[in-house]
Amino acid sequence: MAQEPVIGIDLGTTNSEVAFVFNDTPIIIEDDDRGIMPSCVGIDRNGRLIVGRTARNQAAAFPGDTVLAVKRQMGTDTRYTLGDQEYSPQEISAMILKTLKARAEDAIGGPVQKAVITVPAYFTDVQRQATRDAGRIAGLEVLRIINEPTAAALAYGEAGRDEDRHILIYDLGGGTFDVSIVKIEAGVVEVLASTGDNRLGGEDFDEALVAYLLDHIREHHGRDLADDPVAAARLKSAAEAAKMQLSDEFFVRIEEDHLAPDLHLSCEVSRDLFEEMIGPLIEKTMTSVANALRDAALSPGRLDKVILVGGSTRIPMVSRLLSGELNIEPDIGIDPDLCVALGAGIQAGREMGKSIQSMLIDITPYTFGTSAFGMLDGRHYPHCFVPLIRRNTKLPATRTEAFQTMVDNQAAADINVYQGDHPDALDNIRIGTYTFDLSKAPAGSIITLRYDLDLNGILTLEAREKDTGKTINAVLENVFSQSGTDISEARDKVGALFPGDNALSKEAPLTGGPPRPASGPDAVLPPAIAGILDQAREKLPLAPDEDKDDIINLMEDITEACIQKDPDRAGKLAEDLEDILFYIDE
Amino acid sequence: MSPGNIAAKTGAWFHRAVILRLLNLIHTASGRALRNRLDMEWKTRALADFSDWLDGLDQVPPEFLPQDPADQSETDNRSVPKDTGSLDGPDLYTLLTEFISLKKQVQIQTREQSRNLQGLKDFNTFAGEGRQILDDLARQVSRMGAMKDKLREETTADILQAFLDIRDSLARGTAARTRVTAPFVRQKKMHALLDGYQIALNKFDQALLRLETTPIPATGQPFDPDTMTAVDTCHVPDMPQGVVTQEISGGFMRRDKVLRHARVVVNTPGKEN
Repeated sequence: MAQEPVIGIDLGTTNSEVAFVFNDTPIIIEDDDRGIMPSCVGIDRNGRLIVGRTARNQAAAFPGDTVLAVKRQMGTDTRYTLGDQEYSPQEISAMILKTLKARAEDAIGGPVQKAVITVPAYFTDVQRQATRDAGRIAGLEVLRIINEPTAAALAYGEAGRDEDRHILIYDLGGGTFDVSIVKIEAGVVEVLASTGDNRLGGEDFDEALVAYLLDHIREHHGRDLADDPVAAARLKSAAEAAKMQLSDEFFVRIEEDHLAPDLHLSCEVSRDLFEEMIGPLIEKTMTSVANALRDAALSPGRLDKVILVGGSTRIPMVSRLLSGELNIEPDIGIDPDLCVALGAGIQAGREMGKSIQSMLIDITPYTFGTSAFGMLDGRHYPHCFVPLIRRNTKLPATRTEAFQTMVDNQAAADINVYQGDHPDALDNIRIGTYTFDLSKAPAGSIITLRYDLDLNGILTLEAREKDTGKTINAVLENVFSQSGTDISEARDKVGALFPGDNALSKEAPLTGGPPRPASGPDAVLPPAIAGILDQAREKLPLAPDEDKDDIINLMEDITEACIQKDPDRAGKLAEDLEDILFYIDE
Repeated sequence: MSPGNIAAKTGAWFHRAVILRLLNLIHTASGRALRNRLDMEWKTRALADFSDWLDGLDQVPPEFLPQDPADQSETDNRSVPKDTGSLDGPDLYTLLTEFISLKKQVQIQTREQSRNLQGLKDFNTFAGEGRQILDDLARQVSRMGAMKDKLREETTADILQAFLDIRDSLARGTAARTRVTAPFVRQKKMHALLDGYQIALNKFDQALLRLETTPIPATGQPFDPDTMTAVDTCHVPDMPQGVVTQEISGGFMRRDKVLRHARVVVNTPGKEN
């Protein structure tokens, strides 16, 4: 009988996703939308119920007919009016769940009646029960309600580990921020602390950038467009796009034509400037992190892992500050928008009795950066390490940093490529050095350095003079294998220190199991004999005990005969072996 | 003939004779059992008959009388007996030799048969694997075809998206013509410039049409959440409610799918523009 499908749902404040385990792999179910469906419900002009993107589209025009962020009202007595009907938060949530259920049924090709749903760790019993009720209204039996940080830990395969672990989950989404610390002991996940701000997220960063652009227009064009809805909407879109671009690039030029009939905007924003704008907001999240650690009675040193969840964690400043505060490189290998849903999908798969392997994540195992003049341990130092692509970053990855020339008419700049994490670049592994001949320019001229790292370990770098556009390009291959500690090389090196002891330079022989032909040119077996030996290995487990010894002995003798280049003996022994094998039933 | 041979032959003859007689008796007894009501007379008669027969065995059968030396040398050479139809069979050594030879032949044949069977099995496995590979290949080719189509669609859509922004700029520039004022002497040049803009825009739209991409009509149309995104509202008293008053960026359909939603301002009551 086919197993009854169970789906995993991340019922979020802004967006929701559904995941299902196909062939032991959790997959986010998409519908022309990367699988991310706005948690939004409405009634259109024709009285039709609309859910998701369509409802989100009309929210600005018809807020009275649209419900957003219902999750904030779960477990309360709030009533929503849509058309001529009143609905509870559970009923509105049920409409979202029902849409996700239908999406899953289309993908699976059959009815779905069971689900695992995630909720924030801080949800009360009443809110959890309301979520369960929403599932029931949607026609879903909610097998489990799991905490969002638990789902994130599941996605990263943390719940399956044997040793005890303390994990911090930093979740910065579009409109909410949560930080949780979980303890995983023998597969059991316990939330030690959870705090946050449910009115802080990526939209605040967009607004900060829009405010800057409006100021820029006031300053440079003498116009105030704050009250022009069309201009404001265009600026918001441009700001959102620039924010995303600044995660990879160091400079972004925002250009909008005809913001007003005779006003065009062209404004460059650097990552430093953007970080200055959003700095106070990110600092607020760091205070929450400290509070969570205090609530959990843990020091940062006891954390084993930091997981980043939510699209806004792609901003490099988040990783950098967390890394500085906690002294541990945060993990963002799994798409932060989908991480919780994938964890819910994994739990759903477990409810179906499937053994789900942890997600395969393509991340860089090393940090790649360069060196520059800076401050190290309170003194000026010419070889400060500047990381560009940090360890655990999802691949392919692109990062750009900006540097300044130190003197007027600086003739050249050495570009060193380092692999490692030490603040002193000289303590890391240098994997490339290039000289960039510079144009004549005053001190402080900007040079951008861009690293592109792909899945195959190919690191492409480009250095560019910002003012002239002059570039230098280089490609480094196999950067993942340039660990500087090649095992065989090291073994030989150490082995050389122990004359007469060649144990270090040889692989330990395999023990146990039926003999296998020795490797090397001396042990090349004729195909017929190799076939009989293969057959013997296959049949050995089926052989009666009294035959097993004979078979093994014959196999060894045959191999020996082959090594001694005695084909006649090997053939005769092979015939004997074949006789025995004939009488072993498969 | 050696004494051993005589004893063996006598033993064999005796055994065969006894077995035949017993079989006969068993047969007779079976018939009696089936009839079930035969009187006891037959028993007495059978016993007497068997006793007589045993008595008669005191005489040595003629075959076991001493033979002439020619016969003996023949036996010593352990050749195959001339008369195999008689009560004495072939000598055991010959039998053993033939049996070993037969066993060897059977072994050889068995091995050959085993090899042939294994070969057949391998061939069947290979054929099965081949079929599997061909099936997989067919599936992969089909999947690759679908993926290729999907990838082409997605790539085209991505490229189109980038160009749609440029079209927006052209459209905004053209729309600005109505608001541009210039001294009378430069108006002609200005209009020529803007006409050029309009021609460029038309050519752009024709190129989009060739890629089965068409603009979504928005301004003056009722707001449609399936194809439009409302970014703001305004109140235009002489326009119906819920109608798009302004398009911020154009929407486009590619075949029956929305390539990009139109971003619009919608007329709603109460909010004066």
